[in-house]
Amino acid sequence: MRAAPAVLACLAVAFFFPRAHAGHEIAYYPSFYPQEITVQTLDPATAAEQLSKNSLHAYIGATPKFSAAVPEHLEPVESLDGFLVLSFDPASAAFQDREERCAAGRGIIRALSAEVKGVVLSAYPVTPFHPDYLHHLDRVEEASQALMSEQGVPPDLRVKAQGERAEALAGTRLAPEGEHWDVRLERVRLSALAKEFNLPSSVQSSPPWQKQGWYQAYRLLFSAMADPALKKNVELTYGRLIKGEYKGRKERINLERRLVADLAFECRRMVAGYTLRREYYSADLSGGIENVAYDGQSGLNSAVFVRTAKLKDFPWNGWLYLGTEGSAEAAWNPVAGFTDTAGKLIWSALGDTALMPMPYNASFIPNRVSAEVGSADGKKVFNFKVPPAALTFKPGSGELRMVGAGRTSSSKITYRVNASLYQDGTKTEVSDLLYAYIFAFRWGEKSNAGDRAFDPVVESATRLMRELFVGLRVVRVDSKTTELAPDIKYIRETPEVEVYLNHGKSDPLEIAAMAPPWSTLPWHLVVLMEEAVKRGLAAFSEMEADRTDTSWLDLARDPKIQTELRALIAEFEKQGYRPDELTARVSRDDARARWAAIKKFAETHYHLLVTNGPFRLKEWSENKAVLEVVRELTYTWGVGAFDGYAYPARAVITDARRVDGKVVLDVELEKVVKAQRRYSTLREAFGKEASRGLFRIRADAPYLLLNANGEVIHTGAASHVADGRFEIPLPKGLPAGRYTLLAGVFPDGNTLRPGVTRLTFKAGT
Amino acid sequence: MGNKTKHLDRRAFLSQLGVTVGAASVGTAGYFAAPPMAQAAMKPKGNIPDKPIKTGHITFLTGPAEILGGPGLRGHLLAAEEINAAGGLLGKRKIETLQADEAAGTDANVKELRRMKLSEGIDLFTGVISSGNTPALGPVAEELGVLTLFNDGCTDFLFDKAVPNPKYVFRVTNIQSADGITAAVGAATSWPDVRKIASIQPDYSYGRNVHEHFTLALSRMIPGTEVVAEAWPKLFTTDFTPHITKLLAANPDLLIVGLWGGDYVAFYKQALRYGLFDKMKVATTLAFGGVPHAIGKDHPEGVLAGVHANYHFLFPSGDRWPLNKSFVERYHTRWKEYPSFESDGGYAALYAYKAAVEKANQLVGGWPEDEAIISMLEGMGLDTPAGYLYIRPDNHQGYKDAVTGLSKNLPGYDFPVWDPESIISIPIRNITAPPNWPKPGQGHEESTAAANWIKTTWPSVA
Repeated sequence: MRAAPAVLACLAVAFFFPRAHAGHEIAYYPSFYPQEITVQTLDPATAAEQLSKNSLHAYIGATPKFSAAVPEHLEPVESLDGFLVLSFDPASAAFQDREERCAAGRGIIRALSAEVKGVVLSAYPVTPFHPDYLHHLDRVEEASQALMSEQGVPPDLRVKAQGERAEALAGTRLAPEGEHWDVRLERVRLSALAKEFNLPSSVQSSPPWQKQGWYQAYRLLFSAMADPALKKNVELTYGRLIKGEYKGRKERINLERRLVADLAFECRRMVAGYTLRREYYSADLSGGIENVAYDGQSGLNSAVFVRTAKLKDFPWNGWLYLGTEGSAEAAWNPVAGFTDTAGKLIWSALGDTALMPMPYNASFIPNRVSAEVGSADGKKVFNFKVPPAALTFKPGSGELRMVGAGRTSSSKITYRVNASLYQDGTKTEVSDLLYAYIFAFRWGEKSNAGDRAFDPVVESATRLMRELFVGLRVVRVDSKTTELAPDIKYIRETPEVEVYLNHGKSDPLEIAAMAPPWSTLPWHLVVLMEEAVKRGLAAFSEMEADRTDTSWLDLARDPKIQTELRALIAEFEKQGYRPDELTARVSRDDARARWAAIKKFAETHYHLLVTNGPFRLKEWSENKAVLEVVRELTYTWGVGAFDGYAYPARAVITDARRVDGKVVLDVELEKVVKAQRRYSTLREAFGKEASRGLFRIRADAPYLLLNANGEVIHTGAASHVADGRFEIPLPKGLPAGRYTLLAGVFPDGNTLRPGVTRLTFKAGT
Repeated sequence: MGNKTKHLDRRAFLSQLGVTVGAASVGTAGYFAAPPMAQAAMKPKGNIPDKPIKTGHITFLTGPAEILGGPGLRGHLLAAEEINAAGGLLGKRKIETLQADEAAGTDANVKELRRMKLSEGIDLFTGVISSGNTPALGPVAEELGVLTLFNDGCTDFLFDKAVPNPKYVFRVTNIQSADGITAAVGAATSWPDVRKIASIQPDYSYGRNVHEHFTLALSRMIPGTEVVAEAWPKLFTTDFTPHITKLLAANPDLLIVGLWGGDYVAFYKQALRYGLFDKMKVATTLAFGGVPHAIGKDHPEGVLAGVHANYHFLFPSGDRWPLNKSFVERYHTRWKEYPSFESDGGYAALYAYKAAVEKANQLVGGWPEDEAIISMLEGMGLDTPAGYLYIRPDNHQGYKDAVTGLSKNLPGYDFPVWDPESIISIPIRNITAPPNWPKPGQGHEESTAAANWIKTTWPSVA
């Protein structure tokens, strides 16, 4: 017989008791399904070939180039890739009149070829792939009608097109290279809209509006605006939205609608449509994958995909093979690297975020923190008194300070942090959480002209957090021992941290996502990277690397940096080095132990990408990375944790009618039904007891009532009164006039290609 | 079984165990002496309220053990739907099921059971997969006085130690020690010439349980067996290569595998690359222990593919046991998949409750008190999809014939199943310690009563 197992590791400890009351079932398998993920860059034709042969499970970032029909075992996934944007030449004397410009723009859009695959022509910036689509449904339809009724397009108008798709769309109106053009047609990918869309998650705070149509419209159109008064209005409206300066949902939606209308008003830049990313995965039985969740805007290149994808032949474990478009040129550093398709995918598996974007709407999934927003008495009220001893950070240096007396904030978030071991065996501790803030305040703000501790990419990525942050207080660190089997126990630590912010009107999860106390990197790795950058060995961002003519920091693939960083580690280990800000929390011996741990990690794994995420970099080459699962007991989530996000149901509103004082919606539900390892789609009346497998489907059914001026005057939620039927009671005493009701049904909150409807009616006397 | 006999022939010994091979066999030699319980509807006596019966069901709805919990709940729900469609219990009381996820952990499960009883007022508690949870929930169920039919949580420890004198708590799944012993009987029956044994077990208590009971039972049935290699992959191991090479180097005749789920699949796929299955016989306790469709058709044929010693949907076969055939059809229609042993457990538990309620009603009239239902459950024999289920009155443990079989790819299935000709059925009483056998700590320090019973009473055959 086997002797008792030994102690596992630091946080996770195994004991042996000679009892026999464990079954075979292990209730928790840390990390996610695949035991190994291979990510390889492939051109679309090779990807198509490999997918067809079942030697690739999914191709990410682009559509494979099939030489024949798409094989039946491949399933598509469509997500929003970007926009088609039309810009009038600002230097041209033509089209100076707004009306003329708008009409010409609509005419051009209408004249564009509608045959180009993956492009949907639409003259409104909010699409069915945006969570706020319902809020703009009337405007989307009006824009579409205006487009259809537009007749006049100057016959000699020439289009300068950027990119293959744009050229195809322009057709005969394409201006030859170097010749006069009136409007420029280009494709703007979401990843190019805002730098933070593309950054690894380690320092970025998540703007909760990142996926909203109004926010993307702002990023897309604002810079083309010219009218100073209108621009000022837009800035005010935008500022109110991001600062939460509104009273409730009705006002917020009105602000969103006003913002988009003002942004579109001048028609200097117009949205001509949106582009879809069509990715494929193999659903072959039994060589394919199942349980596929994806994000409505980043598609398969999302954290939720690697946390759900399951090989059909394995209850868990197995080898997942993924191809990505492009090359893997972006440096692998978790501050401002991993910016290309391959890098983004790799980092989504290596790193972990405090909250994860909800794949099918704009909310968040609590991942490494849970949060309670509001005061101790349970009210979601504002103007909290910040404890004088709460900590804040000096901009430019990150120096720790006490907040002092008399400070207030508009929200207080109490986080419980799901700490775990880093991959070098060290524990995630309060010092790591604090150091993430220190880093953001130090590198996100310039303290002097020659400041080496500054990176403009970090500056923009952390701006929101720094602007809103007031202070934090570490309340305590809880510790809990859990028994997995009688002979396997582990200890989990949960720091509790209060964070005070000046933002309070959003959804609690949105507020929680703005400045959470979290670090997927240990402080000693962050210090190491900082030191490398300060010493001029490398730069965090590509932009700074170019500016300073240094290399872009790469923690795995740059042998020179590896050598230099290892020398630094040896130096720091010898000194027991810890930054000044941590001396009160980290002893010299503790610091020495940390440096020894990362040294050993580097010696074992030949790289320095130490995280507390679910996968670890195992091996790599120029165009390939192999990631191995980290089944480590202190990790927060286990196999199956995010299954609920795969195959979301969607609703279809088949009829909407006014009956007496209410509006009745007939609604069907489209859901994926699993039969063993095969899947099919079923459409049926949206039953009150509707379920996916064993889980009941929640019906979110919001509606807005607009007056004749297009102003939202009432919001609410429809009642699910019977199978297939929802009802909206209309407010009593409506003044006489014309009204528009916008209603949507979002099963489990799924706003992707949602079931929405618009009903216009007269009411009142 | 008698006292230890020195020179018993192996074949005679297996015969004495009641082992039958092939699809024609069906559990016939259990404790069950009376005719199967009458299924014909009986007219309820007295006034029956129409208030629904509330059932609390805690099982794994998420995580790796969902492949056990999900089918168990589906079995339970199918039974509830069938009973409700016929008017409910005693034709009046519909069954409502409150669900909770067992993956929340033992402490949360205990809290949930208390909440279900004290706040929701459940009449019956069912489900529970984990052997870590039944010993925690059993005493609480006794304390709360909530009638409980555990689906699984098969540890011997539950009734050996945690609830040694149960009143309210029952369990319908075979006990854990049956796993290793069933695999041993299956191996001895299928491959009597094996002598050199290798073992690969997960490095936690279940693995030790399988290793102990398998090697102990096999050594009694095949004298001269010798363990030539042991491999104990740590929990969560994904690279089995070093273990596989170690096992191959020992050149065993037989390998016993206690890995389950994705660990077993990762192991067998890696073992295939080394031709392991061509070089030795392989017996498992759980190869088919998840949902039937969970693994691929590249799984080698001829492996003794264990189902936790409980149930596989192909056995008992339709011609001999129509109840199973119709259950499989109804389950497949309802859930678009084939039932697992947990499905059978969930289904049988609710029908056992129904049978006990009906029997008690016939005796006392009206809606029976829990005490009356309990007395009907004690000693009950019931036709279930898996065959006869007998609930022993002394320890409230359900027993059904243990089964195992050799894997084969049959047309019509996307996954490997059992070769109908190879299915081995063993009357459970012959591989389980009899009633009142001393429990651990009562004069012996073996890990289970079964281990002590085997050591004490099983002969070493010639």
